[in-house]
Amino acid sequence: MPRILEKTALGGSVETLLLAILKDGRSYGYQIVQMLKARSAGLLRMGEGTVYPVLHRLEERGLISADWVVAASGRKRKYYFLTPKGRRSLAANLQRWQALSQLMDAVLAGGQAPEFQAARMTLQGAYP
Amino acid sequence: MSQMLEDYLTRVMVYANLPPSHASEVRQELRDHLLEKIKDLKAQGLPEEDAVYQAINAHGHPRVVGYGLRPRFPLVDIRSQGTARGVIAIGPKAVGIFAVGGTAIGVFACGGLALGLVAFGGLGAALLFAFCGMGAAPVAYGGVAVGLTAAGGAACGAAAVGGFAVGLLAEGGRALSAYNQQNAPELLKDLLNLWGNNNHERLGWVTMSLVALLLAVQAVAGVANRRERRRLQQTDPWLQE
Repeated sequence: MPRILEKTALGGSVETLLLAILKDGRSYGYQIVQMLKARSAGLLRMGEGTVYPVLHRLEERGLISADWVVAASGRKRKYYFLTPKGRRSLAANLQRWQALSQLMDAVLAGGQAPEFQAARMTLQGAYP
Repeated sequence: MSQMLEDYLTRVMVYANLPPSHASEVRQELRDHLLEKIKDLKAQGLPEEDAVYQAINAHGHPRVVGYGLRPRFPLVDIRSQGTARGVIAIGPKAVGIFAVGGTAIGVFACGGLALGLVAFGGLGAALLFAFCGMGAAPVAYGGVAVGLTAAGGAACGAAAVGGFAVGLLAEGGRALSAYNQQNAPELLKDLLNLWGNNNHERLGWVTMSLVALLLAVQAVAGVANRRERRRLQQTDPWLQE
């Protein structure tokens, strides 16, 4: 049985996860949390309310934007969507993550040349 | 039942301490989340009371959610737990221009462990001046002081003065010095003279001034902290959990 991962273990990567979810279209807090749970197959444990500080920070930094819409329930609901700046940030973060992942794989596998080569190539792309 | 929900949101917002205009939007957003969650849980067959309880439980502790929602670097940030970040930061761990806390990091840091441009505290390191039980800084003053210029009970530095002083140029009750006053380079003499020609009197004056400043800062921090705790306790009877 795989261990549950606490949100804190992800550090700043939670921002990337949220950006990745919003890449597929506008969404609101509860839906974002549900998508996060579904995509992580329940392995990510987090207080659902703790997603909002991250969303608000992303909004402050201009990586996402939001507007209020009246939902079917009649309540006003805040929908978030990715900005062009957020889209660029997500692309850069993904490239860095891929490079880091390859690097870890290469080192943990014992440093075989092909993995190192792949990691170097990706790192060069991530940090030109 | 919605009363439980509103009580929870009130607790979150007390910790968040947001401006009223922004607070109502945030509260509305969190309420929408919780109501959606309750609706889903009820659809799964849970009685309303259990659904509300589970939704609140899943949302997280009000302190964690509330503190997370605070502006990242407000003018004043006072926290009973966690890291306070603000122009004036007060808390167990404080980071700010003026930081007061168990661990304080700031331009002016005051705390058990103080790191800053100017540091006051039990253990301190500073880029400019440290006045600490144990202090390390270009200009350090304290029980044990290490720096370019150090003064204190035990002082170690290029120019040191104190009860036990070690340095290129040292002066005090017991001094280990590479130079004496006659043949020391002028720079070292100037450094030592930072503490004045009449060292004992000058050091006493500096000590009293810094202690007074330290007490004043701690008093202001104490009053601010007590007010904050009272504000939290009025809305959060479970604060002592």
